[in-house]
Amino acid sequence: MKNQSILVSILIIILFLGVSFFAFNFFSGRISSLTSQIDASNSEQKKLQEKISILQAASKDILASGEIVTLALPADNPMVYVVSQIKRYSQDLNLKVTNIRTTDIGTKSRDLLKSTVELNVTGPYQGTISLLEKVRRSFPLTIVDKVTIDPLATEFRATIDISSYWASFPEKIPALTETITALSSSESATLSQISSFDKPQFVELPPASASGARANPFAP
Amino acid sequence: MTNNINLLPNDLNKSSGVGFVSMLFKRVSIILVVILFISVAFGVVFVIIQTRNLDNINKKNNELTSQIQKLNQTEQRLFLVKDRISKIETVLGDKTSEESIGHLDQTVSSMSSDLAFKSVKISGPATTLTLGASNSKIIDQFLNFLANGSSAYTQVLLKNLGYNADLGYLVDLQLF
Repeated sequence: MKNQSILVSILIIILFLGVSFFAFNFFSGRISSLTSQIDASNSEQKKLQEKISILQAASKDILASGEIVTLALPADNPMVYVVSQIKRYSQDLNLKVTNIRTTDIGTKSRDLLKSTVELNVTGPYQGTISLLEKVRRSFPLTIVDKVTIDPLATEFRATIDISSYWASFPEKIPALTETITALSSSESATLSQISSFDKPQFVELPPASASGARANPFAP
Repeated sequence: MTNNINLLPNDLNKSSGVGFVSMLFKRVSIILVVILFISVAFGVVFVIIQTRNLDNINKKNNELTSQIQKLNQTEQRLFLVKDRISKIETVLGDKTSEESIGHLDQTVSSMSSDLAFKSVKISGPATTLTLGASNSKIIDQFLNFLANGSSAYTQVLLKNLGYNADLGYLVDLQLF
């Protein structure tokens, strides 16, 4: 009888060891998986909260900034606007612009395309310098590559090479959980530097008025 | 003389050693079973609490994600602005000719009216300036101004100095 009791106790102990082993394995696996999931979710939450605070802070001015940077560096060749700006400034400064020719289209760097226009400007010296100053402080962004100024009988003739740039818009935005950073101080400085640049003047056509609707040619 | 007579069957014969071991095993097994139950209970409670925690965190994350989705337009704009600015910085990093234009304007405006401006060529950081003067003293004064009175250029190269009886002095300068 006593021996049976010992045997039962030993069996219980063996059973305990077996069950403990499986229980330990099960719970340790489950707990470690839960802990790692909680850690991952916590870090994701931190990233999301950071992202929200950055986006909420940026939402005030980002619309205007987006417009400025798009005018500065459009997605398509802005040469038409560059020439239009030059003509507008030349008119204001009593300069005559001739021989406008686009010389080449190339790449400045990866994703950044460049087009160069060469033109002759005739007029007073100070007017030519003012034109260059105005062009370099206007949208779309341009770089004066080369200038040659020669005196004529009563005025000066300048040959100017100006490059303008464009780059296609990004096609993908980062994943929701991917971190995003606010504008750095150097980026903000660049933005404020170009914010004062002169914008191209777009002509807006007025919508056709109802009174000006064409008459029905098939009307009896 | 007394004799201890045991009338119980032999297999039930009391043995103090075996009884102690039996009792010990019994107690140990009971304690272990209790420990097992308590541990399992703790494990289950812990797993439930952690699962709830995870659910709460995930719920909060879903709310944050939907908030971000509402700010999607701002995110797109911010991404666009950052992309454009990085490229604009590349373009603006190349404004060497434009600095030269500013320096030229500054130099020409401080030039004596006796100096005749003949031509100028600006290409990158280099400015090639051709000037005419009726006497060499005016040229000397201007060179002195470039070297000591102006901070526009760090290097002034006198490329050519000529004299013609009809045109006077002609000087070619290369400025950096």
